[in-house]
Amino acid sequence: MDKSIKTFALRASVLAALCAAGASQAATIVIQSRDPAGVGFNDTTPVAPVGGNPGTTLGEQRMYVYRYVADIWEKQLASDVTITVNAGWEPLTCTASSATLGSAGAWNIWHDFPNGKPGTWYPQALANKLAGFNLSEGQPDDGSGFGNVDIKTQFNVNLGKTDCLDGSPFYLGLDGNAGTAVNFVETLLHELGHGLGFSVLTVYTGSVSGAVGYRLNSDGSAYQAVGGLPSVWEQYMYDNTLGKTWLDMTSAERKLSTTNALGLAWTGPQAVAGAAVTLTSLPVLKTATSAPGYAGYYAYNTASFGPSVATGLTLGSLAVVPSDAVNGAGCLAFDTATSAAVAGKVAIIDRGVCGFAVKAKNAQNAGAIGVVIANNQGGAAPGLGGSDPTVVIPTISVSQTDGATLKAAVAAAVPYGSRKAPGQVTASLAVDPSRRAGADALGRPLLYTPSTLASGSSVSHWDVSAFPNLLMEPNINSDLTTILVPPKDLTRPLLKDIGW
Amino acid sequence: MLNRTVSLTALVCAAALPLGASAAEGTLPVTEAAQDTLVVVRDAETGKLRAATNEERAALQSLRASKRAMATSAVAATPQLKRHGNGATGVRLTDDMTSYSVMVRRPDGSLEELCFPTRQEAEAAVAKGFTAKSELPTK
Repeated sequence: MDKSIKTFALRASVLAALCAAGASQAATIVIQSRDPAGVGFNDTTPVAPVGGNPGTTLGEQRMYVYRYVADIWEKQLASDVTITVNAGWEPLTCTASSATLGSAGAWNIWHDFPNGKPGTWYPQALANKLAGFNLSEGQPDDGSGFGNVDIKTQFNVNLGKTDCLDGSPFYLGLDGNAGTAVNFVETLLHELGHGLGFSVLTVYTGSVSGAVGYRLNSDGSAYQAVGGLPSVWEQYMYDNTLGKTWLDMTSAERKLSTTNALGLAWTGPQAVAGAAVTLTSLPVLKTATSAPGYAGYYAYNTASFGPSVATGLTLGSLAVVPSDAVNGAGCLAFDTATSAAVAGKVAIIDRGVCGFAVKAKNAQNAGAIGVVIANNQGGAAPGLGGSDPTVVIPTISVSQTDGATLKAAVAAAVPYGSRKAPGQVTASLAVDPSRRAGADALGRPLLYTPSTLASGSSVSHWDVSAFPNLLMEPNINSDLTTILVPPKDLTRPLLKDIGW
Repeated sequence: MLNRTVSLTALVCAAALPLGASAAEGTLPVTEAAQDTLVVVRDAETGKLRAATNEERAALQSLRASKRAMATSAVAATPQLKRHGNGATGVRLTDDMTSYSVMVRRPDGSLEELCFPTRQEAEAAVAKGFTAKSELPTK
């Protein structure tokens, strides 16, 4: 058979097989500008090509980045229905030192369409892919001219100007060399991810505390404490404390779950499999001792004072600073006995009464070479705020439970030595090979559920403990790439879990 | 194929109650979730969200002035219901239901970018800055 005929026949058979299996072709994303003449994409201000962006006007460069990012997403998604992204450059809120960069989100959502889970909200781009046609086709426009699009975006047209994060405009290069500017590629890549479906979307997680956890009702007019329809996300949002998915929770339970730090996992099989080959081993405080049962791994947090710490650091032998119900453990200059106990060792000190930095300085003055602050309340190891430039020994924190275990280990180790050299517990910063940074004990990637002390409160991101940094963490980190799949990233696996 | 679009304005107006009352009774109209009366800020000392003071509210409203000039804001303020002939139900959302990226320059000159799930939280962050590590608990 002629080679070209064989090739044609092979392609035809593959195409037929794909069609029979309901396979979709690579997605097509159309960028639709709503900017008026002379503004945004139509800004004719001359600029020099930068970082691989060949545009010679500001408007051209802006559109080039949009197209560049859309091309990245097209390669990651499959759909027979064109995805339309409406885009505009507008004046958004600013101060001299802060600015809203922009926003993006699904502009239409659907439930009870062909091939979707019944009674479940989906973003339109995904709903269209599953249905096989554009659900908004033929719907009257809302008067805006873009009421039926899949994703609406807007970015700050004033960024970098006076009183709008002065001097830090969007960097429109493609090479990541943003310097003191704002990397527009990563920002847009992230925000389009939300618009395509990386968002719980229809469960309220905003600033009206009483309504957090409410679901959007079936006609989209209100968030409801009881009833409402679940988001397609909820089936895979498993709270390890409550022992159930958001799908099976009350709104009050969902509210609790939004601030259950390190307690909410994503159980979708694609993302879980991806996490196993993407996330690195979990950094931990590792202890070694001859006392049976006391060697182990403990999650830790870091301090804003003293030297920075990292995996591989040998801390030393642990010693316990006595509790002090009146003055607080470690809050006063150490007495002779305590000084003798901690000299040349790492002092375990209970949190409470005085500042973390005060405790660290007192330990340092007594000859300690490091400090472990044991929390005095439930929850995870706290971040240690405070400042004292004279503290030069490393300080970390552990949870209350782990602090109690460490103190018990120190006591238990004593008999495993001699009278002149009692048994000890040595500590170092290492990794737990059985755990992943940013995943729960079963290796399921964690969603961002900060305690009330942290900025933001969105479950629609990966947790910030993930390492390497992921595109869909709430912080847009400077070391991100444009790769959206394992072993670099977990964005596409999550989207595949929900039906992409 | 039957396509039908229904404005929710009347529905929402009929349900418009003071926020505290409506949330307490188990319903938060989508339009109320974005009202100016719902201004909250993150307290610099406690790190918790709280109602804005009059001064903070004034500052935020000033920040919002430029946005009000946006030609599309009136169109997008209310969700719009869609019915498809095959039984599917859709809603065109509003700007208050999309994700927002905010950048803050720290006193040391470094930049930090954070993504927020609502416009209210993003605007509060612009006005107040993020919770810096120095604002972590100190004792």
